[in-house]
Amino acid sequence: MEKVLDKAHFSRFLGDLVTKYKVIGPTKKGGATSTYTYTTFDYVKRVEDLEIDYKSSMLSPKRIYFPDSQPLYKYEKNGQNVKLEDLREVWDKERVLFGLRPCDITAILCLDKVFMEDSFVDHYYQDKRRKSIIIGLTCSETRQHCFCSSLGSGPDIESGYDLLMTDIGDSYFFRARTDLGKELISADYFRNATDQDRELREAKLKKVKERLSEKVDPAKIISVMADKYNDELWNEFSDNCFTCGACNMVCPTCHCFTIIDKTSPDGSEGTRVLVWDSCHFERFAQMAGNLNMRGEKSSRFKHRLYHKFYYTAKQHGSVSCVGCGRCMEFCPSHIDVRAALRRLQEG
Amino acid sequence: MNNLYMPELALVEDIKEETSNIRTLTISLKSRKPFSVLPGQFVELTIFGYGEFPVSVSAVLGPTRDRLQTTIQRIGKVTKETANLSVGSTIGIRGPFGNGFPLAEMKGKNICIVTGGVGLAAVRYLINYIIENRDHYGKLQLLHGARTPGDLIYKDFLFNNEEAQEQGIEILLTVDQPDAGWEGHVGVVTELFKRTTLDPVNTMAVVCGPSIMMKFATQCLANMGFGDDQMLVSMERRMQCGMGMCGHCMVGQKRVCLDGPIFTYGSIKDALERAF
Repeated sequence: MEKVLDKAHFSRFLGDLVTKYKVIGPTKKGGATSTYTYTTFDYVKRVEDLEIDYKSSMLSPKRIYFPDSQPLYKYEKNGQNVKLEDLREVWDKERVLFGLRPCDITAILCLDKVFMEDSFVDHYYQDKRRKSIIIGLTCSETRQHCFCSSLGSGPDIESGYDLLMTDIGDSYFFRARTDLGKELISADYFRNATDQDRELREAKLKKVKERLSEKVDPAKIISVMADKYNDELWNEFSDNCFTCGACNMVCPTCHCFTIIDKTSPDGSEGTRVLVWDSCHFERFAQMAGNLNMRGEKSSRFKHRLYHKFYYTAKQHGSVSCVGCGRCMEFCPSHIDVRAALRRLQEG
Repeated sequence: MNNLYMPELALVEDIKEETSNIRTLTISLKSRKPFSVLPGQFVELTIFGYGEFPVSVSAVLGPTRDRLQTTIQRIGKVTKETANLSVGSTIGIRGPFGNGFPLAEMKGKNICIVTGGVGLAAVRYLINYIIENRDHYGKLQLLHGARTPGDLIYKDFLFNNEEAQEQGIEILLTVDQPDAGWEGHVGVVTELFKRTTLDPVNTMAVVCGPSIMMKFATQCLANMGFGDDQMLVSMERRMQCGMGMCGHCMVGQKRVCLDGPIFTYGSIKDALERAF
């Protein structure tokens, strides 16, 4: 189903969403103590809270399902009596995730494969996913590091959402993919899409796609990687890496984590917490007895790209890079992953 | 909802000092539920106040299988705290995790187990299983090495020649550094291959030990004619979640916690990244 909403009615639409659901969308943060502002996903109540024309969010919406620091359970120890209390977050009702970019929606599908479609199901993650209504928003502009079109995760996508919006000038074009999505655009302030609206949408997305000139070929990269594991290239690629882990933190598909205990000084009570980890950190693959399987910086740099492209393709059938460009945008050393991928595919 | 990260509470029922820094704990669940664990699988133990660590299961005991044994070397931050456990201590346990040994494929074959140090703990349950189902397996050999005689675990088992004969298991031992009382072989574990007859035909080798030992043991076995899929390795990594999510135990595309910890040498060799 395809409908169109006049921008003048947008606040009514958002109002209706907010009455029925909790809505999470792109919001502008920072600026209070510095001139630095950034976009992040947070709860919104009014149109003014939303930064609907945002270009990118530093942190992807993965935090909504997979928080950077997630309390798992609490323990209290009294002698040998130990009491455990589940601390994992459960949503009271459905959430609308509003304004997600196609790359970030595709990234959520990558996380699903890890947290609920492999051997074990994280029921808390799954519950949040089931309580999610996803309203995507296609991009009107591209940024310096975007390369979603090479990886099939943008500018237009076919799945992963209830509704996908496109700004077509004075109005928003809505494409519904689920029954719930259809219901959400059944209000009388929506009108049926015409052929002209469809053409506007196509033209808009075509323009975006034309600007995404990067040609990274995942199939080629996967086939080349099998023979490039011990290549000298990896030393060169990783030479400027600080191993700071920024790329992991901003990546919408990085899912590696560590489990830590926060305990009281006497150890009688504490909380076990799941926190994001980085495969670039020196001790990521260190074992008891200090044997480190990836002590070399280049082996860790290589591991991240092999995980994104080669290993996940073997495990889950598709790559787990969505071309959002964040790892390059926020790399303090300006490492351009696309350049590395290009070198690989050129042989 | 089932919180996969919450451990079940367990009680330390017995502690056996194996060496100066290795103990075997016998534990039972406070709920008294039976343990359903296969040889080769591992569990995650929690020492409340310190953290969690993965460790292999060495035995499941009792008519109702409600007691589990695990042998722990105090080598890291959390395992060091096991020194402070006593009978009656409460710990946490999650699992079991991992694939376990391919018992069906091993059936009918001769089994040659090559271990080093505390690596023996990871195959102890397999040895027990084979002894309990002795008719289903051919010749059973254990080639085990330790740094010094004092570092040998399961001494009651290793030095009971009579019982070994009854159970049909050939045990060969070696140490790197002998002490005054040591009359056995001195040298690395791979030297034991020369002191016994080992025919690759219809035989599966099982290797578990320190990284370097696994590297040389698999090399020696390959030279003796063992095929890549005739060698099983029990891998060590720092599995934090045990469920294929945290990323810490990846060896190339393999996840030791899901695809392992038991691999055929062939499958781990295909994983690009070095395994040992």
